[in-house]
Amino acid sequence: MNKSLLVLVFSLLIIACKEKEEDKKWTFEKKIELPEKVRPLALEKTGNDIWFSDPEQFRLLKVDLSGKILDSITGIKRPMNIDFNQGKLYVPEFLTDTIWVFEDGKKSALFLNAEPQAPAGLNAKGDTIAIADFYNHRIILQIKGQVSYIGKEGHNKGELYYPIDVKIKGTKIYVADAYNNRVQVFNIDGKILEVIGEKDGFNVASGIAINMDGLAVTDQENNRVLIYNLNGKLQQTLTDKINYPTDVLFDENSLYITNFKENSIAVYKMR
Amino acid sequence: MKKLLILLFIGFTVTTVNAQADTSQLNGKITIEVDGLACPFCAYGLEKNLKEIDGVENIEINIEKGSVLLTIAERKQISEDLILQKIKDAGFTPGKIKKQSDE
Repeated sequence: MNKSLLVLVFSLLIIACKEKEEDKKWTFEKKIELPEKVRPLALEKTGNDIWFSDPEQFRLLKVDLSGKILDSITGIKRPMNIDFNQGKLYVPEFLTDTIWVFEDGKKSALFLNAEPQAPAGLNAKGDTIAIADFYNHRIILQIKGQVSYIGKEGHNKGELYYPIDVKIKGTKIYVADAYNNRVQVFNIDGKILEVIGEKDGFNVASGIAINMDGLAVTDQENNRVLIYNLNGKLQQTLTDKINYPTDVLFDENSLYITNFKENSIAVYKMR
Repeated sequence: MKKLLILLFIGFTVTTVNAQADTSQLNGKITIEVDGLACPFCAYGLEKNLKEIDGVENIEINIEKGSVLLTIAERKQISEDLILQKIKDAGFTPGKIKKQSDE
């Protein structure tokens, strides 16, 4: 009898915990206010600080979580969706088709066996780099120097129209297929696996972030960020204090969103 | 007499065509209104396309107003058709083109 009671109590506890976990939602926490003329387009977290691109001013800025400027990189001709990996800050320069790599204060151009036309975003993972090749409507995938291409111009499944951001997760490539208003998921051989958000009313899907539970996608023109689970099912729609979001970033229990049309970064917490 | 008339007609036609071509040549400062320029990726894409034109000295993109201010180098002229084509290449529908002298 005692054993049965113990099992019942444990079962109830497990169910309660699971329900509590499922009840957790992203909730607006605060805005990181930036200097007046700043227009943050894309961001990356480096330790406790944030690097973001400010293409209007041809620069990148590093700020702490209160918005205080700590560092800057200037003279970049429209820096776009940046990435930070293994101590390297990757910066696609939209007007010159160059990928700059900043490491320990040194700047070098990434060797690329391909010719992007307006690189809008990128993701580096070890020896692999994926680049959203905006005007060629494709993803450049370079693995140990070997290049392959994903997608071609079009509106059908597996085709791309002005891709802006890309993320690598395991063997999958997630693409912000911006002007097709959706996210497309490919394998590294370029085979289309899944289409996400096609019926969710996107108007320019420009930025993607991925964590263990799913993905966040910016709906730039509708001032929204949509949260999906890893099966592509919509979980939550964020709108509070979001103004023209162009990029989004998961960092443990926080979600950072760039407000391009104003000088701020919105911070959400999972509660 | 008939030949003379034909020659006169051809000469008149060529002059008219040249005169029309001259009117489509732009110089100085030009403001171009473009729909959909609010999106930064598109706006900078347009900037990139317009920079490729020989004779363009400076480009100022105004995302808030949805307009482009183009400065053409001194003693240079750029055809309006070329500018319109570059705008289309960038994925936009061109709107009004205003010369600074028109404003």
